[in-house]
Amino acid sequence: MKQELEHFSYDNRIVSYFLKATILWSLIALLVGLTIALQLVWPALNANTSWLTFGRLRALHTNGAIFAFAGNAIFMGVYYSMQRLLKTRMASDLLSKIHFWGWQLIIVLAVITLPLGITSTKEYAELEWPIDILITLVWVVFGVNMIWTILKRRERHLYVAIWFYIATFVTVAVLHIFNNLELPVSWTKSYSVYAGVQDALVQWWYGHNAVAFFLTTPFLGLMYYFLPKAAERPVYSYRLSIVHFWALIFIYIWAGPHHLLYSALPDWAQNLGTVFSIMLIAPSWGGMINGLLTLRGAWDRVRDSAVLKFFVVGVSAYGMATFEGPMLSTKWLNSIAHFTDWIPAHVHVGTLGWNGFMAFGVVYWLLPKLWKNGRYSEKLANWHFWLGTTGLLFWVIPMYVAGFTQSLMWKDMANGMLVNPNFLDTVTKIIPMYLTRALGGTLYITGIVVMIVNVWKTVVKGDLIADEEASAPALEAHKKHSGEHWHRWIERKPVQMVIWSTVVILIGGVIEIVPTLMVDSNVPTISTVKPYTPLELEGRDLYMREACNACHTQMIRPFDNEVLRYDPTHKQYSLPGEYVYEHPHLWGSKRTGPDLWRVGAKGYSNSWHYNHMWQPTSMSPGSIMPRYVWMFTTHDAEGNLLNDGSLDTSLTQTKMETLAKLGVPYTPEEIADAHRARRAQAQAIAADLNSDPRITVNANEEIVALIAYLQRLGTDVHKASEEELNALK
Amino acid sequence: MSRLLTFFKHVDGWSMYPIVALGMFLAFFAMVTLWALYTRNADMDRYAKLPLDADDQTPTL
Repeated sequence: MKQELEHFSYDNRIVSYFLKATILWSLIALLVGLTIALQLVWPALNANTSWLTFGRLRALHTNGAIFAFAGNAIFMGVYYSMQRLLKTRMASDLLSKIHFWGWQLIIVLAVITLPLGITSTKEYAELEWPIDILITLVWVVFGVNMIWTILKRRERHLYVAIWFYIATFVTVAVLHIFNNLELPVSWTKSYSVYAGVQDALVQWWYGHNAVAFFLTTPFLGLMYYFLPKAAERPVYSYRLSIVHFWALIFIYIWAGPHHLLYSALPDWAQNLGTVFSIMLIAPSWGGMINGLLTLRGAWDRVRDSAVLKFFVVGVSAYGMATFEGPMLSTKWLNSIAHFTDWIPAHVHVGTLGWNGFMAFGVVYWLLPKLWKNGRYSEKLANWHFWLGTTGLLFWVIPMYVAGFTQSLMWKDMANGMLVNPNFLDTVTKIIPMYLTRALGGTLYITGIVVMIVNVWKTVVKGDLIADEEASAPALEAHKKHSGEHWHRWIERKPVQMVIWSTVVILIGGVIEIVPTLMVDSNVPTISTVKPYTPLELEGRDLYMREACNACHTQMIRPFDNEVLRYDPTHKQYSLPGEYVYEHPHLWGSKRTGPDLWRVGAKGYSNSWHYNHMWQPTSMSPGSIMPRYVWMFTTHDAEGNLLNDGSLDTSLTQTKMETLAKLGVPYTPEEIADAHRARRAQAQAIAADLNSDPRITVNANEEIVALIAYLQRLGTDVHKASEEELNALK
Repeated sequence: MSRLLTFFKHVDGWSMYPIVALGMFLAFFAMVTLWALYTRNADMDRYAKLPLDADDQTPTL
């Protein structure tokens, strides 16, 4: 019996919004990236301005690339494909709009707050707690709209792309909430509820899975929809896609600890991360092969289609990155690559190659579908492809070379001594590679500008099909028939699908994280490690504000060359118990500058730090560290105030009270005495600095607090007895 | 609740739990693979064509 057709329309307007936002933010996020890439060659490009400086802009670049560029691209593809795969309009146009404008508001807030130094410093989760709450609300709006749409669908089977979208929604929600648990100090300041090792584990459980469930699973969903559309043939193997999905979401969630190999994380957790990372090759390559083989018999079309070119290179980049990732998770390769420029190279194969090219492919495929009678140019799209591909190569190849160079120079030892004891020598060596990387970025951005021209010509000259007419029969109640497979029930029931996806991803998270949070023996304490003084605490917050951890690590790994370089007197690598009061941890992930975890024990004078922060090249000729002049109070020749570098101490006691709630043993007496203690320590440092005839400093300047913090780093563990440290090892 | 927390804080052998989870994964993986292998070809073909069918009005019930 022929079923009656229901007539409805697809909402293309929301897709067009996300498409335009994708393009706008791709340009902005990558221009910020180019700015900081150039600052690593010419640090003066920050114009001695706080909000233009590398540390602050780096977070803006990463958040912009991930959540603004890739995020809008995901929603563009999801809103287009989901409606068609489910044969229904989105459940609520209002929720779609709230999602769109809410997401853009979050991005604008990031653009404002991150350059102002308002940051939690947790990588890819730097936004402060009020914005975190807003993200949660907007994400829930997206999820409700998606699940509601699935429930009112006219197609029984949930295509595999939808599974990836569901997994994205549930996992990102879980990750975001647990990683951003923090106790507010004020509207713009909070401390992570986790400390040290535990904070690092939760952070990289989040950080790795932000890659997995924000930059991988939704893009795989887009691949499973848009690649068959562009190739005009079904996916190579639907069976493989099913195994791909379940294996990927199960395994990915375990792999986070591979970011913390050789760190103070317990060995069992590190090994777990390695094992599951290597296993991850199988589902990742299963997906890549499935994507590329979808083009079987259609490879000739790649020559003529810019969309297919973008998809082929994008999927290939996914394959390369997902082979490299597991290899980097083995301890022997990780010991070479970690903290070097190899890691940004690996990351950018993924973001520029996989995410960028998949997003561009979807944009070009959608343009003539959404706007009729426009002047879409295939030739310009091809130009974009070649500029992007060349830019990608110029970006990553020099960074691989830089990474190897750094690692070899750091590790080079002869007769038990470092061959390159001055860290700066390992930096100046790779500046030509940084310059070449900036050229690659420029080419990639030029491609985006070409895309903007193409989109402009299509959108301005064309007519948007805001509501695309469609029709399909209503979904009838399912009648179970004999011989039907048991798995059919889960495909029919999206709510169960959501629940099971959540269970699958939670297994890994719970087993990895709960013991590290709960079991006392995982983080043995050290009797001499004490909380920071009030002045040092303020100094640490300045270190966080400037995101010094973007370039300096605080994690000495158990390698001869590292203990020799970073703790030459005691040769002690970092121990878990040293970090028990670190809310959040500041281990960092990249050494553009040297590790600072024992810098206080290395014998630098207060005046050395003062001069170094005022003009780094005065102490380290050739340094690419920017000046931090806004941390100093300065006057012009006439005595007029140029910059007020006074430390804001209005929240010192609130900060200590907040940390006390989190388990840092500040007594009520210490909190009550905080201002007196702070002033006394600051005056002592200022007096020491002022004994140098070239320095005039007030005790209330920010630089004094920063120096107090730097001089404390690494000194506690040196007070511990030999017996106690041996017992901990 | 406090008894539960005390139990977690002092429990030994947590590092074995991932082995159990690995076993769970392998069982789960085998189940999904078997399901994928034993689903009818006709069903798989129909599902695979969903993106291509989406523009016409052919339902796949």
